[in-house]
Amino acid sequence: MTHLLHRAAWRLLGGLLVLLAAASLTFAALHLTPGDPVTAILGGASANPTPEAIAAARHEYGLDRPLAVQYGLYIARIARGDLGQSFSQHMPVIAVLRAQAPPTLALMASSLVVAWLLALLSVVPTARRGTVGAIASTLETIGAGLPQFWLGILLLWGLAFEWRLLPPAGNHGVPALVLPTLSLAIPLAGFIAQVMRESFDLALDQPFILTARARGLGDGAVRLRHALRHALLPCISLSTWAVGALVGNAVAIEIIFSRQGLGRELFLSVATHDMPLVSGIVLFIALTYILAGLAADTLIALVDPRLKGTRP
Amino acid sequence: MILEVENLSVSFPTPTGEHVAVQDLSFTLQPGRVVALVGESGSGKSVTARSLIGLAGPRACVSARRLSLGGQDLRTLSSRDWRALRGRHIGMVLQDALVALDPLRPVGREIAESLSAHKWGTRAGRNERVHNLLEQVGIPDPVLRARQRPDELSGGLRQRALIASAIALSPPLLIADEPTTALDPSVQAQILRLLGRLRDNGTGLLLISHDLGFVARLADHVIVLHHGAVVEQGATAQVLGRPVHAYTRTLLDADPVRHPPRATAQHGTETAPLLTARDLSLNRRGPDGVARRILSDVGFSLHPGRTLGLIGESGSGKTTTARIVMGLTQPDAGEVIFMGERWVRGGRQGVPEGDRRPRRRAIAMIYQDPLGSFDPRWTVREILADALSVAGNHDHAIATLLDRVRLPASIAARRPASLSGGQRQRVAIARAVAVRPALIVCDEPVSALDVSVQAQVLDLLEELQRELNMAYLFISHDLGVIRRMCDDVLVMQSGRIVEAGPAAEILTAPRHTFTRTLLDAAQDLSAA
Repeated sequence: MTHLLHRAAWRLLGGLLVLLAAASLTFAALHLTPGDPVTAILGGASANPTPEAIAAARHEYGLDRPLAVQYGLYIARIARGDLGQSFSQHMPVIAVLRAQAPPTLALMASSLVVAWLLALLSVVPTARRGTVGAIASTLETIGAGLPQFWLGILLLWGLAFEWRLLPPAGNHGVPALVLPTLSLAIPLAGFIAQVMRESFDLALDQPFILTARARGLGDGAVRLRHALRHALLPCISLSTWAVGALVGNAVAIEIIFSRQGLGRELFLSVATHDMPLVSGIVLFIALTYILAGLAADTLIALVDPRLKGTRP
Repeated sequence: MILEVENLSVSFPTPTGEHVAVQDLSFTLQPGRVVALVGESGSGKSVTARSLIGLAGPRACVSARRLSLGGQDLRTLSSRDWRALRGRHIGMVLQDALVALDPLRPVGREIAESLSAHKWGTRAGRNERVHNLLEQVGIPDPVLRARQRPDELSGGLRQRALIASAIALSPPLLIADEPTTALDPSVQAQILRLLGRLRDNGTGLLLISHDLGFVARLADHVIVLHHGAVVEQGATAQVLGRPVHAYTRTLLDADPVRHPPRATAQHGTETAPLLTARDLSLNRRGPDGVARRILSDVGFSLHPGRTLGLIGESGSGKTTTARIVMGLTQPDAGEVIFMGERWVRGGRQGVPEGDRRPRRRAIAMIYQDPLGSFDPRWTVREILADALSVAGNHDHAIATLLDRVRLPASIAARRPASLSGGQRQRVAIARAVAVRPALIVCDEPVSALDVSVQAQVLDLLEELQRELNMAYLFISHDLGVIRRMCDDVLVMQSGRIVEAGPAAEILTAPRHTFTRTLLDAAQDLSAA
């Protein structure tokens, strides 16, 4: 039991270090980009703040102090949960995140779930099945190669405008989620399925599969009860990466489907040089990524109990 | 229920034409009898076993004049009928339970699956049956064991669990494909007794093995296969006692037990030892976080030109000792002196690798699985040139090396994956002797090889030792091999040396009870 706690403590420390690194990067971005950080904080070169506002902000952010002190203050502020003011939104960054994160998280979760379902449907019934397997494998490769924004535009044109089956834009309810989800899920499903197919094939060659068949187990049961579990492991690891990739791809998809969300917000805040908001979103993405990693580790230990306690 | 096989042939289509894996095999398997299929790798034994339960694969063409089980024609079975037959009428046991049982599941669930696949009983009834089965195959504390995974069980226990899963529905026939190959001799003897008991209770056994000693103990009828063809078959005593075919004789002669023991001269001992190990100890933290003693106070010395054998069960510390001698694992205490200077020092502050580097070339290693120790992209020429590690044209040196290990020069252009097991091990030996080492650590060098190839590789190692006056530290679980190769022997048990001395003495008159157990187990398995 103690070593489990030990391990959890190490993971937590590792996660905090990643957050610290992300915070340091946003700090560096603020100070290394050309121009006075104050103008970045107050709305970029075009904002024309009054000299009084500049002096006030300079004092508030400690920009008249040495760089090391500024860094310390910056980290301390973040640790308190104060991510600053977004000038483009005229509200605290935290409030922006609170409003924009849920739709993006919902989109990411539904994309991940749909991608997994598609991958399972594509691999489990077709692996090692001659022509069917070859066709499925080709489709997976094509799927993995599709650009999300292109797929999004195609789906928008076909299903929303031509046939009017689904709403083309907005955040309201499940129907509005379908098209953005498919745009993100289909390419991801291709990636997951390719990895799953390879390890599924490997698992089917293992002696324990022969033993299971020699027991009189049918092909379906052999696939579901034995081979699949072995094929899941690399796909779970891949899904951690996918969470990071989904955030990036959500930028294009949220703009195409005019959805609210962090991706669109990130795009807008970069375009308006709203540095506090950019930093806030970057930190939030880092946090999501860390939590996804922890979840993946837990899942992997559940699927492969041999790994329990073997890693520090 | 009788299994009748007449003129069974199995072939696979390949781009270069049809590959015949088995040709015209005929035999009858009855309850309470044991038929053994004997032959080396690639002889078609396993393909035969799989064909008998309809699992030769979708590409296999299986034909037979007669293939029937209890009067039912197996040639025309639908896949549903095959499933009903597998496990219920014919069970199957594979080689290594670590991979032949699903490594992610507790063994109890694997055994229960044999029952549920045939809709046997209720969930509670199946659990009870699983515990009974585990008890039946001699596993103590079955309730606990059923909940453990194969990697949490010892080699003997998991092999028994595998057998339990095959006999769950008491099938009248059981196919055992190399059931003991990866096991220690004492565990092999236990499995032998278990299979013998099943036979006595009326199970018909098809035993597949390359181990003639094991076969002789159990089989009534022996079939010798060579490249898919039957070269000889008949009653066990007749085939193994008075073999007619030359190939059967080759197989028998290759058995290391039949080879005279090593003629140990007192050579070498008068000189200073080449390598001395003193009080080597090592602790390692297990997965549960508790420190375990891997080695305690292991010490020995090895003289030039002599061979020191290291025997003991798996997990007794043989490989750890070898790794310390190689300078790959740092011990917690003790030291190793090699060529008169300190080579390994226990504790936090070891000997710096820079001090060892000049002597690195004097020590080499040969592994059980040479394939894993080669870069798969390299040709044999590149592997050997790398070992020679001097600039310039190596062609002459490489030709000499290949000649030394009795390989044709044409092999230099090939990659390890395209070589046979014996050829690979020869390349590994060539690589080891390339730098003219004073000591070669051989870790189970012939365990993965067929007996006839094994004999050739052992011959080669002996010849090279005489030519180059090398010392060997020789690890093996096969006492026949040890008897044939070693001057001195160390017996290890749970990280300690329990007995040490001249091989002739220890292998004929062991003093320690553990050594006696090991020898008895090996005796049980020998063909005598």
